[in-house]
Amino acid sequence: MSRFAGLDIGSTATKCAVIEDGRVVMTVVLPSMPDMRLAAENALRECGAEGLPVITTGYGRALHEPRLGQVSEITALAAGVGLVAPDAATVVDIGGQDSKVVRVEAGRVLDFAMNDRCAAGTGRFLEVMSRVLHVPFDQFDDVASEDVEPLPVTSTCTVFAESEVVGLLSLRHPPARILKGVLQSVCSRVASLGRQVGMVAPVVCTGGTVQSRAVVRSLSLALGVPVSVPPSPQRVTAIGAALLCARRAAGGQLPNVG
Amino acid sequence: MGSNRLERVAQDPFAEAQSRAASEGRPLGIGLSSYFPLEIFDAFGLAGIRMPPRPMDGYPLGDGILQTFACTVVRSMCETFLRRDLPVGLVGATSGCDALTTVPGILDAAIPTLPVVTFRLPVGVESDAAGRHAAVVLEDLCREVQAILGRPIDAAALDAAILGREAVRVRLDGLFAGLPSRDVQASRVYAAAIAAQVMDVESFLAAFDEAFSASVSSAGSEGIPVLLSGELVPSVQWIRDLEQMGASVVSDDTNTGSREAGRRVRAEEPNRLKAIADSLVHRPVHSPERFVSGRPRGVAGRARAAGAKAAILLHYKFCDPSAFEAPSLVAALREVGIPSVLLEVDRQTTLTGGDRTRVQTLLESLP
Amino acid sequence: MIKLRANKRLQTTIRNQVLWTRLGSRIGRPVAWVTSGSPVEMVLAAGFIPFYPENHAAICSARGMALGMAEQTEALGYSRDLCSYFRVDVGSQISGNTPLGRLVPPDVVLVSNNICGTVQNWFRVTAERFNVPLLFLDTPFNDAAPTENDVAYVRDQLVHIAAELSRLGIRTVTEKRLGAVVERSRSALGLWAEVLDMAAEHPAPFTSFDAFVHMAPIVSMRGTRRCISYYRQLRDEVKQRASAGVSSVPDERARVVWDNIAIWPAHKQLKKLFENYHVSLVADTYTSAWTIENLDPSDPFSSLARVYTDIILNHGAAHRVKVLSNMIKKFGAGGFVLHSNRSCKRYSLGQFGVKTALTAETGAAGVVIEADMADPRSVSFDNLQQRLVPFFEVLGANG
Repeated sequence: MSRFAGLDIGSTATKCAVIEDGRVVMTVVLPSMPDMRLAAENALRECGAEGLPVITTGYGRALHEPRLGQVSEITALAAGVGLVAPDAATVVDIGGQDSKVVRVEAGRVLDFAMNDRCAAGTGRFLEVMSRVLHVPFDQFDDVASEDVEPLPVTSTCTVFAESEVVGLLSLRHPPARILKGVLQSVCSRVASLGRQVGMVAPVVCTGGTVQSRAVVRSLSLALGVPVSVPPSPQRVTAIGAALLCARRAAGGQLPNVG
Repeated sequence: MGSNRLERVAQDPFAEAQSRAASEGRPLGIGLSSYFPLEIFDAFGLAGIRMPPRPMDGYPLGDGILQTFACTVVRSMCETFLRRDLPVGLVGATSGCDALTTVPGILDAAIPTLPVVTFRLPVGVESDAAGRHAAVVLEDLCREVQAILGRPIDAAALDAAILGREAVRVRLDGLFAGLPSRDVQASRVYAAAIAAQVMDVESFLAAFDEAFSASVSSAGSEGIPVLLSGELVPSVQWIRDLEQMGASVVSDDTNTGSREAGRRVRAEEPNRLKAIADSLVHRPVHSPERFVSGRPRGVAGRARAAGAKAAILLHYKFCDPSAFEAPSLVAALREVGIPSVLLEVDRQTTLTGGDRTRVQTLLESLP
Repeated sequence: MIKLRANKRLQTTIRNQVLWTRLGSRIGRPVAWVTSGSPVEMVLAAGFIPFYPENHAAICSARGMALGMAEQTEALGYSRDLCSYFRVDVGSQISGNTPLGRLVPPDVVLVSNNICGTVQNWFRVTAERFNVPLLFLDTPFNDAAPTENDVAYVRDQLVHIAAELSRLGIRTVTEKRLGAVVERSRSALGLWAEVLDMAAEHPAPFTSFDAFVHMAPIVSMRGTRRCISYYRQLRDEVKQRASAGVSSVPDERARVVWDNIAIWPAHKQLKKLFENYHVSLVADTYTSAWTIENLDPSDPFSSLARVYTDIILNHGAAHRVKVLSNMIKKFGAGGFVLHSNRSCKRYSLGQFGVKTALTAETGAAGVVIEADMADPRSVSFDNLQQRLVPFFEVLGANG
């Protein structure tokens, strides 16, 4: 058997990847809700991966069976980056419910920092604030790309930030400027996470949120280094899990547990 | 049997405290910190226990008297006293961290009928002066307790309490010291330590000797050897979760564990209060002098000697002392080649999804 | 609203103090970094120039520089939940960033836990960073007043600290030298108390918003002659205002007292808000902490031991109620604002009980507002306004 699957069951989206001879041959992304277990099965089926050896990862990694093993999404992310951006030294991942900065080398984790407690610095914060600003999600990128000065939004507590944003709106500031301020605040939060592990170039960013060009631009500004986005940034973790699956099937030593 | 008893108590220490309050003729004397010497309460005829950990969904009553930026340990003790479902004879607080220091004042204002005494522990002084003053302050404390209870301290009971509690600590200390050999699963060791906080000395010693006698074989553990450092272990399940993830605690630096168990009361000191005071002020591993004494290096050295490959730092959200120490602990561990991960505990008593990701990533990233 | 002439002089005084510190260190005077509650008299007697990281952090925050500094400290792994003054201070140390031009590194660090346990940890980090000795004064927490044993314990430590400072400094700390510094402190503290007391006049010629700013010399220069002369002039000016009936806020309609440190990130906005609603902030527990009365130059060690152990933050909630209640009566306030300061647990935890007790005792209306003394991320002026405006209206003050 030469095909292997990786299944990343995230809190927002479930991603599946299939690799063959070290090359990605198929990926899919499905919403995880309302039923993560079902989403996992559907993702495997749509990928044509039923019956293939699979390693699961992500928040719901324990939900799917049978599996060859399960790894943490950070280990899988590092492995995936090792394939799609082999030179990367640092990975910034902004997910729906958390964000992570991982120092990597040859597909392995050197150090990492993760924020999963506070909505600030995650896709969720952007989502909530876009709603307060009445900016539909499909227009987010356009509005956040307008050539206007961002208005600083200093509160990172979601409740405080919400009232700050409402306050700015009531002063008739244009939503685009506020949205850019919100984006700046999220990215500065991610940057402070990054400073904990040290931002070593080259930096790549992954996760669903960085599909927005505005997010990437703002992130690069906050981090003070250029960042690149690999193709399908949302699927890198699933790809990494598939790689680890192949390695494990070949009798490799990674990972330690699972 | 003994093991079952310890594990059962550790499963729900709060229930044990409640049942002791109901079944014993003496009121509970509750110490709020591992720096409060329960020997004093015992000697006044109270049933001395440490404030039992208790899982909580929230602090509906406590939030009315305390802001949300206190740690869960402090918030849940306020909540418990307000719920009035644990009959309390006397509360013993210790001034120390800023949050705990404010607790007696908060309780006095909210529940005027609740008697609270404070042990004003000297801190941060590397000399005999702190021990001497601690003894003086303990005498003040005894006078205060006497005034509240209307009876003097019983000298014979104090001697017995010191001996009994020392026996408990010596046994626990032995278990924690034996962790590197991995003959006994760490979760069983922590279960014993948690049970000791609420059980009476005699029943604990009996259950302990039965559980850990040589004839009772025990399955050791095989996971990746780790250091566990932090204040209170949230629950036995929390340790079991770590074990299920493949971590095996071989070196302990927690208040639940060796920090408290390591306290020794010198038998040769004729002034018994001075002996207790010294045992607290000069506690090994983790004393009030700790910030002046290069603690991180010591912890790292012990972890390395125990064969730990990684470290798990347990940090209660809003716990200032541990937040101040964490960066230097991480650095000291890194210096001896031990990578670490910080798990922030709020109300939860089991590992969260994010914690699992952190621990798993740490273990997976080891060479 | 007529501005205080002293505002300008304050700037000059602070600037001179900064220059003096820099110059002094260049000509070989040693520098001691001290906490705001440290017996600074000790380091002055030994010939050190004192520097106050807390004060510095407040200045950084008032000038809008706090956020970047705090982030630098957080990058080292220090939690965002830790004291924002600490995070600002360490961030400033790392980056070299300061509104004062340049920081002069310490030769020694003196810390006392009479204001909180936080400074004990904070200054230890500082001492390690600069690799200098840390002198620590343990002042046992007490309900209302220290016991004689407490005083003896603290006094012994002071004697030990005096010996260390004599060794590290340029002068030996003798009773006589120390007594002279204590005498100067006592004069300045008395003058500051006079200034604050004048806010009891109706209308108040001076408010806590003024005091939050003009407290800088009493915190960081007490024990010096310049400090005395500064407050003599300030006292005279405020006295003039009082006798001329000058009000600090236009058309004063309500008077309130304040508990806790100022909210520096919103200081100007809050001052404006109070003015717009004609509310005078007549007194506070923060700036009045430097109005100690019983310093005794003839027995400096015992006196310093007693005074520095008997500090408002070294007592519990019941004492706070007493202090605030006296303040409400003395200054004729109809209400009180309790700033629940995320950065300061010792100062803030327990304020809900203080509020209830205080209202029961004085009949004054109170409000608890959530903010932070320095971290702008935990301060929302909109939220503060939403809390304060209805409170002002309860007091009969409208914008």
